Amino acid sequence: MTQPSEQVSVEVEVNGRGYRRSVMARMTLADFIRDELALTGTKVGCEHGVCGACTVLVDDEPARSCLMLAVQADGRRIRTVESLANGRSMNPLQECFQKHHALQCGFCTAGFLMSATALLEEGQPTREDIVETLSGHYCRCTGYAPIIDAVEEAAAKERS
Amino acid sequence: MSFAHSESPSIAARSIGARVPRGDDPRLLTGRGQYLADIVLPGELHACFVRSSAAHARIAAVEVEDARALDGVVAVWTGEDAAKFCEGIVGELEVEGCVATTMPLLARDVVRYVGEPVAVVVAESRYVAEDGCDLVDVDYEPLEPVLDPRSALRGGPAANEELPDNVALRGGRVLGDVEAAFAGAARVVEATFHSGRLSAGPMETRGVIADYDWTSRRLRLWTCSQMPHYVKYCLTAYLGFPENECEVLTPDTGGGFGQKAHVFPEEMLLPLLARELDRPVKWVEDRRENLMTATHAHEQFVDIAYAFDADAKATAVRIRATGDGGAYHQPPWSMGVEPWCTAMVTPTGVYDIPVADLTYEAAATNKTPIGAYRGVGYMAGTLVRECLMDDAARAFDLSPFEIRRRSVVREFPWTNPQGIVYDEGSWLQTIDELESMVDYPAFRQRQAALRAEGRFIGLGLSVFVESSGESTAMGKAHDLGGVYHDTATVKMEPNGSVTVTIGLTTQGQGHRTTMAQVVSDALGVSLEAITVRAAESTTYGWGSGTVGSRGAVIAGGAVLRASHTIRTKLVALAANMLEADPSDIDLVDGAAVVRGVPGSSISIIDLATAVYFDQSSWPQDFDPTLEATLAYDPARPIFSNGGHAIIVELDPDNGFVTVEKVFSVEDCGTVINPDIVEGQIRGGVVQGIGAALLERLVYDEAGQLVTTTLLDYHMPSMDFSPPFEIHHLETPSSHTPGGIKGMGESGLIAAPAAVLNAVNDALSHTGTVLHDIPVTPEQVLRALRS
Amino acid sequence: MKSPVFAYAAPDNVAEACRLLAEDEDAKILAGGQSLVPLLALRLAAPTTLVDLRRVPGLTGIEHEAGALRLGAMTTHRGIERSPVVRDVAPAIAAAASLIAHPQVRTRGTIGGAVAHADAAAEWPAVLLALGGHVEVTGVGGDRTISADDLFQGPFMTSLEPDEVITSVLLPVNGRQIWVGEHHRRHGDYGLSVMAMTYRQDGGVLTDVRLAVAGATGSVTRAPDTEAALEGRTPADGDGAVAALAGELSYTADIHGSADYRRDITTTLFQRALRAAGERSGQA
Repeated sequence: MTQPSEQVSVEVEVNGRGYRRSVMARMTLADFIRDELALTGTKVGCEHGVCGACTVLVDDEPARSCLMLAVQADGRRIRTVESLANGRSMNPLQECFQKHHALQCGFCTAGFLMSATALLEEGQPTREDIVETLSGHYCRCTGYAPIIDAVEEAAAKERS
Repeated sequence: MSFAHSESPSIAARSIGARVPRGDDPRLLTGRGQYLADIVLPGELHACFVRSSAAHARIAAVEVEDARALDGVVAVWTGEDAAKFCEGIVGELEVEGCVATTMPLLARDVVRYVGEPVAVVVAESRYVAEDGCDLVDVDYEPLEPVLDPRSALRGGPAANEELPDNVALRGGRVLGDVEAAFAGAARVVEATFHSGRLSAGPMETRGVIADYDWTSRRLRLWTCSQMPHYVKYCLTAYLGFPENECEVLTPDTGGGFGQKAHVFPEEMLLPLLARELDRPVKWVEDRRENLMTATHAHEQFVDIAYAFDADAKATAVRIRATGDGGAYHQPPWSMGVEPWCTAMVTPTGVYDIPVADLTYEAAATNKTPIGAYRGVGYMAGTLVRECLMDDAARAFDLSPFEIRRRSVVREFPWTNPQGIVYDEGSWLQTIDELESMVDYPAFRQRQAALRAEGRFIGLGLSVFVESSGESTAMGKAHDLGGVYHDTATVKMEPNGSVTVTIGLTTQGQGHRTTMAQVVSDALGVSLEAITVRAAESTTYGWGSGTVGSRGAVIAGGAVLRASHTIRTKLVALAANMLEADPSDIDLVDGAAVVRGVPGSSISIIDLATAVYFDQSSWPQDFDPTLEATLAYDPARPIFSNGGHAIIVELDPDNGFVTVEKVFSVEDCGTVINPDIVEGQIRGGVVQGIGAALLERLVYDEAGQLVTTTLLDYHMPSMDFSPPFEIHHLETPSSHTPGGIKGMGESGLIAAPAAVLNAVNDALSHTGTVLHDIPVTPEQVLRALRS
Repeated sequence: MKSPVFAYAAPDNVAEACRLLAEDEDAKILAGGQSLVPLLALRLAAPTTLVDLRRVPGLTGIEHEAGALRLGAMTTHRGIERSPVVRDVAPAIAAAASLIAHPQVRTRGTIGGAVAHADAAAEWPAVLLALGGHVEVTGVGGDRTISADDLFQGPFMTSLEPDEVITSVLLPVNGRQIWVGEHHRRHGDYGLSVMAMTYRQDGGVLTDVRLAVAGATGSVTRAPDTEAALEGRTPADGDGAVAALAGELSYTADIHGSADYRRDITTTLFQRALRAAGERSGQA
């Protein structure tokens, strides 16, 4: 018999490392990643699923971590922005963001990078694919065009 | 009167002008940025605010006992508790006709807008603090809400009893014989515009952490503020914390756009809570609070008329700008600055219009206070001026480029009727450049061909001149008070590396990179050897705030002046060591070289080492302080200029407007870093597209804010954003460091007018002309079917 | 914006889920959570128990059988959008999935959750209604099937009993033409008007027409007068149906558009549907 409980146990793999925590059932995955695991690269911009800043990869698919309870991630594999760099250098996608001035304040950037990472891993996105996917993210600084250019160049680098 | 800190030394541009990648980026791209919510202090408590659910009401009772009894709640304060320490924060604009208001930290007796803080719950977590807020029971006795600014100014109930006639600001000037100019006009073009209520919408909301140590009386306040030194000043002025024991810290900040350039009740309340509870207290604003209370912006009704002579040259302007100000002045800018600037500064723009009748007024209403958002007053002012210019173009059957050429100022320096002097500008060239960029004849052909197919495209033009580098001189030129200087410290260390601190905080503008470029050219050292710290703490320097497109000019000037002091010492030392005259020494590529003497050089590293460790190399009377702090405040107001031409298409099925392309021309004098300038343009223009087509904060007839989530307040997303073509013109300022001018606000200042003009151009066959933003799909559909 | 307290359970079979729902009248089912979690964050919903279906086996998967698509209730929008089976037998259904929010939401949101939530502006209820589909549900008292026409009772209201769980959604796609479209301002926005139309097409004539509208009306609704006006006619002969559509529905007003506006754009949406039907039959 399953008994409902306000406290739950969560076991997840985040960026290749296993964690087990007991948390409130009501805690979001975003708060879990930031407050329980101290991985603060994931940002919280709206907490109601619109802005996209908190996007992480759950089993390789992008998801809004403010729209998931931490307990829903039990048994899943999570990746956050902290997983992207190759050792002591930025990965090609990050390098393209810098080159194209695709970030200003940087608050939305982790979300864009994670959605773009999933997109690049799935194959060769067209410019339309990029816009379709990344329209699920707000950026208030850049006007977006440089972000499209950065992801396009990163895709081209993967091809070559 | 002249002052030493208005002089800026000359500089040879080498790194200046280059597309230098930003040094901040690797940190921000790897998730290592540290924003306010990322900071965790041991033992910190979390605050959450109970906010008014009524637009205007008497508070009959606030019941807090259930909340206090909740497990995990540490304290609950109401207005009475806060008032023991502070009556409130005072806001006003220092111009004729402004009446001040006092904004309580927590409302007492009366609430005056939905979202006004009424109580604060402090708990062990934000979750529990929100649970506690749900248990606070406020009994409101409704008062009549004041919601229409224009009727509010005619009388009726008061939105805020400190302003019994609802007049927060009223004034104006008449310059020249207005009656005669209009009576003698060949044609008068006039309209009433409404620019909608906006949120600046930074991706990071506001936030504050306060930590007080009673043993040292030391207060540390983290706040993502654009004006930390002003916040610090207020901590002493309003709360009595000793100035010498206050430190305001500004971590990485996720955008500000003016919204974070205020002092807020929450910022003043948290230090008191931290002191009284003897624990650090954190408040991270949520998005609903941000949309509801973090100041609104830009809303105005503007009546404007131009008189034209028979040659279609504008001869006079009459303007009345009425701000919908909200319930209080939000310090320091007030609800007045928006309509004041629109009426007093912008109506003539780039045009030679000798006669002007200027009126401004701000009405108190039971809405969220109006604050600053990129292009304060300039956006609405540019909207009405540039859209009326297009109305005139249609009336005279001239192209939008030609109507502007008939009136544009061609000779500099030029003094407008308000007495403001513009030293230089590329105002005519901007119009010509945009005309060639859009290929105007080809556009008209394409428009006609598409119209025959039932497709509707339109071209809108908007040109602007923007006050930049907000300074004391700028304020004086506009009959405003205020002193605005910043300091910078430049320090060279024994191995020749340079640490720079500036008084500005940075919200994504790349100041650390652009200032490093300035220092690199001033001292001849490589960018890798320079570290720039923005005002991460008020321990560094003095700053008047990251506002008014002033960063590059003011910080640049202070950095250049401080660098010059170091440079002078390095040159003196090099001259002594190389046995040359100081006037022959140049600092370039990491070395001091003797001009015209190949091979005679010494590295800057060796010079620095000698300053610290080798007294024998010093010249007579040498002072080895390789650290200088200097202020800068330009002697004269500085103006950048530019314009946008925007093409839109209307969808006849639903009235949706799509922006096809943006053409931008920017003249901010010497460009320090084109990537950063273009980034500012694109970001500002897209905000302007949002203002023109999407964004609108809506109140219902009871004064409830309807748009409290991002599901209802729509900002541009990637699919809503156009491609850009950007051209730079460079008309350097003659009296700023290197000739640079500020430009941070230009995109938002001028884009909405271009979008509205483009929509009206696409509708030109219908006879409908729209004058309100945002343009709604419904208006467009109606017009297409009329 | 933090959720209020609730108790959580993740049972591993449907019967247990139904029992938990029956035990607490303020319990809610958690499927993908893409609508529920924001309601919790905004404290617009305060269930005392959340019954998470993630551990219940057999609730995902897509099968094409007996002329219908059977979609496990926990199948995500993304799963449907990308399903080779769906793309093969009913590409319009895959396209309809792609209209829902953004990819980052579609990876988590489920068809069962969307149908049970019955948002007045959502795509799946309109598709289900236009296809004459039904849902299979399990409750404490056993299993039953509910037709789409009986399921949707108004905005956020269905005929599901509090202890009932949708286990699968059946879309009878064979032999039917399907068109789904909407007017949305930006990618991923709720549609200002959402329309699903299905019909049989024989020699250019439309029969067995079913038309469902969402977004523009207070709840997802069929337009029976319009369906009747189109029955047996060619798409080019749709003027009577266009007039019927403007007259028969009650359109809603909000800050994004007046009732008149929504009527007008629902009309143009219908005209798009008719044009698509005309193109399918080779006559414009």
